[in-house]
Amino acid sequence: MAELFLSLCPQVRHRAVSEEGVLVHLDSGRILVVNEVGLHIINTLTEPSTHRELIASIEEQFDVSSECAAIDLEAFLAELEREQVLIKGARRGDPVNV
Amino acid sequence: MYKTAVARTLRERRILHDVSLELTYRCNLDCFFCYNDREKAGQLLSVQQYSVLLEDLARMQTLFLMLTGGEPMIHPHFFEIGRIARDLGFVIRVRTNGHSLSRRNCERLVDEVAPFMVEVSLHGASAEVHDRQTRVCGSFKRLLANIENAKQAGLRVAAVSTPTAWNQHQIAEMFDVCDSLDIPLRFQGPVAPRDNGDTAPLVIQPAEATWARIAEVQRQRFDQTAGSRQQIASEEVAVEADAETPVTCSVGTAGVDIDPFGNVQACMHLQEIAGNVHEQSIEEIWNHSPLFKRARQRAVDAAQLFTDKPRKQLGAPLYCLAVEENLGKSHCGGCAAGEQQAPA
Repeated sequence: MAELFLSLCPQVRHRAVSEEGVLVHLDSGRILVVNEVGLHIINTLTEPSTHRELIASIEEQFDVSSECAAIDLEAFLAELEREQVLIKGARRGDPVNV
Repeated sequence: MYKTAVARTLRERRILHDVSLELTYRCNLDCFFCYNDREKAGQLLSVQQYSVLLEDLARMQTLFLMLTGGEPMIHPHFFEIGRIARDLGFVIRVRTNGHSLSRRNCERLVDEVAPFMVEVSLHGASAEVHDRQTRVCGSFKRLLANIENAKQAGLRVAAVSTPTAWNQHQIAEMFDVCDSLDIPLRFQGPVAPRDNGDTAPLVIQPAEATWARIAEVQRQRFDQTAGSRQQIASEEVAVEADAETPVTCSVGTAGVDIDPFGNVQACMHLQEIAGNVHEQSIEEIWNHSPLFKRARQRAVDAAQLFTDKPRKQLGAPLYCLAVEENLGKSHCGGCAAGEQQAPA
């Protein structure tokens, strides 16, 4: 089975504020503030990425085990999904926001 | 979280988070009390220069971008600049008088600029009052139709009004108009001198009691809608005054204004120039001009004037450094030439 690609909803804008990240959902008007790891994941999601790629990226960047990265990632992605920030099923080459 | 931790980081790390681009001082209305200095001159920024500027700002992690004027939508390259800004991932607000929000332009805004918010100017609750201020017959009727166009196109719209002697009797009615359009309304003020020091607009300053009236109407509405309010980003974007150091505003901390000629200012109304993007990058200006620190200190010093009394200026419950400064420009000896009369 093909792996599921995840990416940011095109209606979401984001920037780094020092180590943290600020996200604005243009539709809901909600502002989210994420920590350094969250910002790294958000930046990675500007290109459609699989769970495996995201975990590998966190492992590499923050020197944590893949188990630990996977647990934190799932919790974070669930929150992004609740906030309607995430798109599942994106394909590489799909237009994405900056 | 945003107003506390993030705002503090913005101040402490000096991150340029919020930028206003005054694209033009031209306008298709002729508001009597307009604050812009229409005599201000210089070399207009080209689309290419806006492109470089916006790329620099995106790299600097600027998030909020206001496209304003004059009337920004009559800039000949408004949509092109807006499209560049959208593609670079800014949260865009368009501050417009609403006169150009035709159905076609609303569709283009959605498709090409994708603004987070469109703020329109409302000057009264009737054509008689609104058109008197804009000095363009039919502008009220057209504004209401255009707000409908904008909403139908899917744009988020909000109204902004300045209370004046001409509309002060319509405060509650202006809220009613906005309720009927299902858009929020906020009041700003006072009526200020023009940015060149011309005090002519001050003759239509509203009665001081108008501000109490606005507060009263807002309080009644707040009570009526308790439980159904939703805070949205537009209400959060301003980097608030920090709790540790009292200031009269957030000038100099995380935002700049850039005029149509590339002049970078700490605030739209404080005319001192930190640099010009014809000559330097915005990054150089932001990182090296001492003006921003000075502006911040002025806001700190001004707050000291109000440690034991509420802020008040020209009857309004606030204090703006720029209003004070621009009032000072008009002190030319007190001759009769400085006295102004409101047009009929």
